[in-house]
Amino acid sequence: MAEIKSALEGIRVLDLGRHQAAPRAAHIMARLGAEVIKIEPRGNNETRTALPRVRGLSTHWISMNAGKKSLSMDLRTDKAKEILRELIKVSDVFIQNFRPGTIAKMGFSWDVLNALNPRIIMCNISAYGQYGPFNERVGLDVVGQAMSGHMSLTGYPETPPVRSFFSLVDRTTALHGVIGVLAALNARELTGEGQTVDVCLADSGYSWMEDTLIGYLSDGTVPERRGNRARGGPANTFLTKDGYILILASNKNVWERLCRLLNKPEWLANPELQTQDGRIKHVEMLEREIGEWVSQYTIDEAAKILNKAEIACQPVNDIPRATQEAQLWDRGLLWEAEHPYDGGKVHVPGMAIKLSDSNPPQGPLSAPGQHTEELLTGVLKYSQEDVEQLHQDKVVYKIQPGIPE
Amino acid sequence: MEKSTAALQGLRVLDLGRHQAAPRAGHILARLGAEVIKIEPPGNNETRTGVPRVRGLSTHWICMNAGKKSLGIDLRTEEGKEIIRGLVKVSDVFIQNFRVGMIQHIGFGYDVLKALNPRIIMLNCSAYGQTGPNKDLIGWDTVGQAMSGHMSVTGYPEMPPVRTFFSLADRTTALHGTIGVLSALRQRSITGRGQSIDVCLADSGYTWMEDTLIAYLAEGIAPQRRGNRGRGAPMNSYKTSNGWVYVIASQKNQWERLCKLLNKPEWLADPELQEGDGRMRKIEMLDAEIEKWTLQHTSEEVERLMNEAEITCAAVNDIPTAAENPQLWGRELLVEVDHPYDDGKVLAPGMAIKLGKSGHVIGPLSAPGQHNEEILTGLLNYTKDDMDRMKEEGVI
Repeated sequence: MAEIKSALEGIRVLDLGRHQAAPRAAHIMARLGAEVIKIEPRGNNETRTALPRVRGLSTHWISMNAGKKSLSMDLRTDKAKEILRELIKVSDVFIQNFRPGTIAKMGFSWDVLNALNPRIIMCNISAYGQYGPFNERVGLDVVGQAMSGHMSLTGYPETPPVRSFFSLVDRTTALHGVIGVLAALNARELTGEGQTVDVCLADSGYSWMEDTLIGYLSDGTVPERRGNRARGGPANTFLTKDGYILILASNKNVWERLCRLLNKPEWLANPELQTQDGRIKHVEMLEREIGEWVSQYTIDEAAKILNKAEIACQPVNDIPRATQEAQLWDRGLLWEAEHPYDGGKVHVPGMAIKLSDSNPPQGPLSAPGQHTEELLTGVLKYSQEDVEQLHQDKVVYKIQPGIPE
Repeated sequence: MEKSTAALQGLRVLDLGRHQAAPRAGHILARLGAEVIKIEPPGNNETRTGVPRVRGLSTHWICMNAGKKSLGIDLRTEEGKEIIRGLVKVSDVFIQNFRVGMIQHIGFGYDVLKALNPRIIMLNCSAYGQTGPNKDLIGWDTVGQAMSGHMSVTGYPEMPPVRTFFSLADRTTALHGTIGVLSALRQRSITGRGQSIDVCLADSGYTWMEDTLIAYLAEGIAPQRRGNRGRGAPMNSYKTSNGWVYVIASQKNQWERLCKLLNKPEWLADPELQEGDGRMRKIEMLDAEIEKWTLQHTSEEVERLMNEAEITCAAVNDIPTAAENPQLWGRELLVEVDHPYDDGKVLAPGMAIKLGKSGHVIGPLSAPGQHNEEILTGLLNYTKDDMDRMKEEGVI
């Protein structure tokens, strides 16, 4: 048995992803210790420059590329394709999210990858899947939220359906992709062979809606938009003097503690209220009473009292408050890395998945093409002269110091 | 290699999870082919009976327990604990999501597990983490949505902050936990050792908010609730004659195709609108005009016309329409399994993560304690007499 410092040490990943889902999957693997090579087109990359930006680099980019090496090359040239073929031979994972069919047209179908390297795992991420009734459609995050019925159930009865603020579907799909790759790595231990992984935005959307759809298909139950009211009761957001606080008291023990805190012996004495079904029946009354109690306090006062009584609660933080929580910093969920364009600092994501025996170094953000030479001469066996020639032929690109155009 | 060998064939998982995050992680591992033994307490299990139910079994339970074996044990008894210790020795993964400190109190902290089996991988799911400033607080899904700021920026400006309909933090945490387990498995294949994993609802919440928080910390940008608009324009929900659609035409190519579809040459001629920033500035006008067009059609028509023109668009489906959509069935996202309480069938989740060679496994739902005998006499070395006695003593 050998020693490695992190779970994915020794695994090499080629990241051809654009937009979100594929690059995010690669980013998770980087943070688990894999060597991730991001293949970037020449110079200006839409995702690097989108707003908002931190000194020239989009926060979008920042949040999914720390720790990746950058190889900048023009994949339309034969020479660049040759380089990529050679990289495939010495890599473990190939991630892409072009429209289904495109990667094959570029010359990198599964058949080609498999022939070059029978151990490679190809992770294909798309909007509607590599096969399926809509696999030819274009799509971005929210289609998964809309198609699956999730949007129709999110929000208040009096508002239109609502999407999540962040790209929930892209994020879920990235996680699915990583799970697929890791499972395939495990299978490879048993079989010696690689394989493909197929995950998509629409399916991610459907994965969250399983119980609702199962309920509907078995007896026609269709829930309504219900704001923040959760299954069981009482569980909702309540208005304090200076903002909202979430209170979750549908669990038996917590419910009883709430009754005592609010000094409501009549609630404890009412047998109907001792079951979840019963509390759901009376939820309007319960919420009204809790709301009145909470409205006497500020968020922080209410949180203090509720936490002391061991009642699950959480202030509904706005963005500034969210950045002030000790949770964010003590758990290392953001940390300061070097900005690749000016040597200053910028925050980048930490790692929410903590493994006790795996401590990879958390890498910095790269400038475009920063590792081109290192990779071509180090991982592949090109000479310095070869690399010069490739630059001259505009196959690969030198980094531009300062802020890219 | 045939497609029938599942990726986690031969792996054994002990699932002591309650509520959502931990059992869902167990469920993903089951579908990847692991043998997952769910330890169920005696008597009535809250999650089995919650509403809504399908012939006695909650949909909540159904959607995270198909394919798991059920071992009914009273973990408060010494003999029950002895059984678990025996199982730990022959298992690979141990999943739990009790309140922090509880699993140690019950007698199964990581140091105990490690001593019994140095290869064991322990997955700990919780509200705020095994360590950290909030580890002693209890919490369920929504705390992750609230703490991270996500709720505050979701929904409409004129309405209070809103949570997602489904338990997003639980689900994300389950996915994180699964990734942790699979990563630890890979590491174990080289080092021979297991390890413990720490994932939690609050941290999951923070992962979704990374770019927003980074922008705020660097530049002081604090977004407000913006309904269904996103980064870039046009990107919004639009009313149709019979519902809503969601359209994303914020990228150059799709924007141009939208202009052509809606017959707006003046938009193409306006240089300001050819830049994303410019479109954001004129967003009210764009949204109003697009909605004038969509209101003339049904959602189905808009979805069809836009997709034919290669513009990202999906109808905002209600539940009945979502349930009929070919995507759901063509991709086998729900499949029928045996209902454990009668001879009928019930729909259970399929597998959204498709592997080209490793088949996934959608097993049946178990009745409580259904596999007691198989596990106690087959996997461990208890006899039938032992089992009778334990039953009498309320251990199983």
